Amino acid sequence: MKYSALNLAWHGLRNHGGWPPAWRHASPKPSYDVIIIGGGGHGLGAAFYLASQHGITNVAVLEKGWIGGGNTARNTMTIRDNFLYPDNARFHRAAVESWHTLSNDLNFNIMLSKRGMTTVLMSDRDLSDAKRMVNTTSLFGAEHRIITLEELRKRLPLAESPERLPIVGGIHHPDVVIARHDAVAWGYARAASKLGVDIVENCEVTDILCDAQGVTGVQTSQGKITTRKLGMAVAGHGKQVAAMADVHLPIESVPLQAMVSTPVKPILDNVVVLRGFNTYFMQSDKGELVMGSAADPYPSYSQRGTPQIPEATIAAILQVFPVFERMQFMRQWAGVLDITYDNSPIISKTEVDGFYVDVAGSGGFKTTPLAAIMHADLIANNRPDPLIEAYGLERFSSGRLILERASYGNR
Amino acid sequence: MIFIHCPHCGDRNEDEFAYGGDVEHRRPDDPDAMSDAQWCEYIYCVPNTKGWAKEHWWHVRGCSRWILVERNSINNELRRTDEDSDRE
Repeated sequence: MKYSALNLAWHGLRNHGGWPPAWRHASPKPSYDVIIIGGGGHGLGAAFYLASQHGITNVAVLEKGWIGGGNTARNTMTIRDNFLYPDNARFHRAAVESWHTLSNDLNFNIMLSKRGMTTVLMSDRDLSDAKRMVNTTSLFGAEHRIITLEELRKRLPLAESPERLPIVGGIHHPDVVIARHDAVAWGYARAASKLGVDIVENCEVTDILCDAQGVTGVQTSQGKITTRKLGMAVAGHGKQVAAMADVHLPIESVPLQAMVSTPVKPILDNVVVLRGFNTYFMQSDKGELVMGSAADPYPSYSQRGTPQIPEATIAAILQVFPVFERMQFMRQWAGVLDITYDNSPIISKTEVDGFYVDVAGSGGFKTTPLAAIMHADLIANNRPDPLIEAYGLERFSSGRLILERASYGNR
Repeated sequence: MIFIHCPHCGDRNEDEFAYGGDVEHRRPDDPDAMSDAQWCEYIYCVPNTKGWAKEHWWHVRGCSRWILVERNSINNELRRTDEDSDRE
């Protein structure tokens, strides 16, 4: 069924009793052309693009839990492209653009909302770094601007008066958008299912089967399934899953925390970054303040994180926005990031033929549509698009790393 | 986790400590004897154990000594801590 205003009105008159499920709950067939491990935005997206752009519809997405229940549900929805190195800058610029038509492509409202991001700079070093960033990213078409104290005050009227803090200026990044993260998973699941993709929930991959020619299938909690092409879009446990095929991924799992307040009326339109504190926050469409900062200082699989981080995050926000002193906390959680040595993603073939990976996005929500398009293209054509050549696994042995500082997975 | 038991100082807040890596991840004795692939594996592929692992921790904002900590990375539960003769 196509979602439209007419359909909405019609079902509204019937008390919304007759909506069909958004996607089929499939049981696995014995064999597929392509299997994707991981039913988050990246995995479902790859399946959707395999079906819609490459005509490969005999595809299954295997998800251990439920659709969009992993890091797709645990991120802070912010889509930005303030990256410094050419490969990253190009990729993330294209990634931001790939969001703009997604609601239409999927016939599903992902609630894309153009907020803009305002970064508060608190030292001369921040300011000179910012100038370098603005100049570099402008070469790749990203629109950043250094703003004066007056403009900063106008954009963030709730902030403590800059005279009381060592605030020296700001950056405005108008292209930053937020999107409803759950809707991204649901929209891809629905659109892929419509094209014939089997979405199998509660199906944990327990082994990857290979022979001398490459991948032959997977062993799962719902039985053995054969395939010659296997894509992996797993977050948090990429290392464990790839190890089933004897592929050693150079990643470490580190929690990245986020927290929200109780909802209040609209009070803040921009996404705010406090550069010196490594902290950012914004107000969601539901009215909650969504806050986050740096990754935890040690690796872990705990989806809770260390208490030092929320403490520092809140302290930082209250320094600059004392107005939020009486806000109440509602939830705090962590998503486990797979972080590479250079903080850049891996979208690559592996040494096992037919086994492809899209992992280690270090905050990979913002790249969901583009990474999925590239992953699908890699699986279909068995060669990387020029846009992702730099994200190959070979970079670790060749030494051509992309040591990006602009990710929250900083070391 | 929250508290780490330092064998020298007793139970101290975890933010006094810095993580120093898995004990399994040790520098090879003879780097020159290794192939590029093996060296690459050592540099980039940390053990990243899910479950119990023995780790080096540095009591950097305390007694400044290295200690050994057994930690479960699933829930950050600690089992036992010891002096770290490797790094002293």
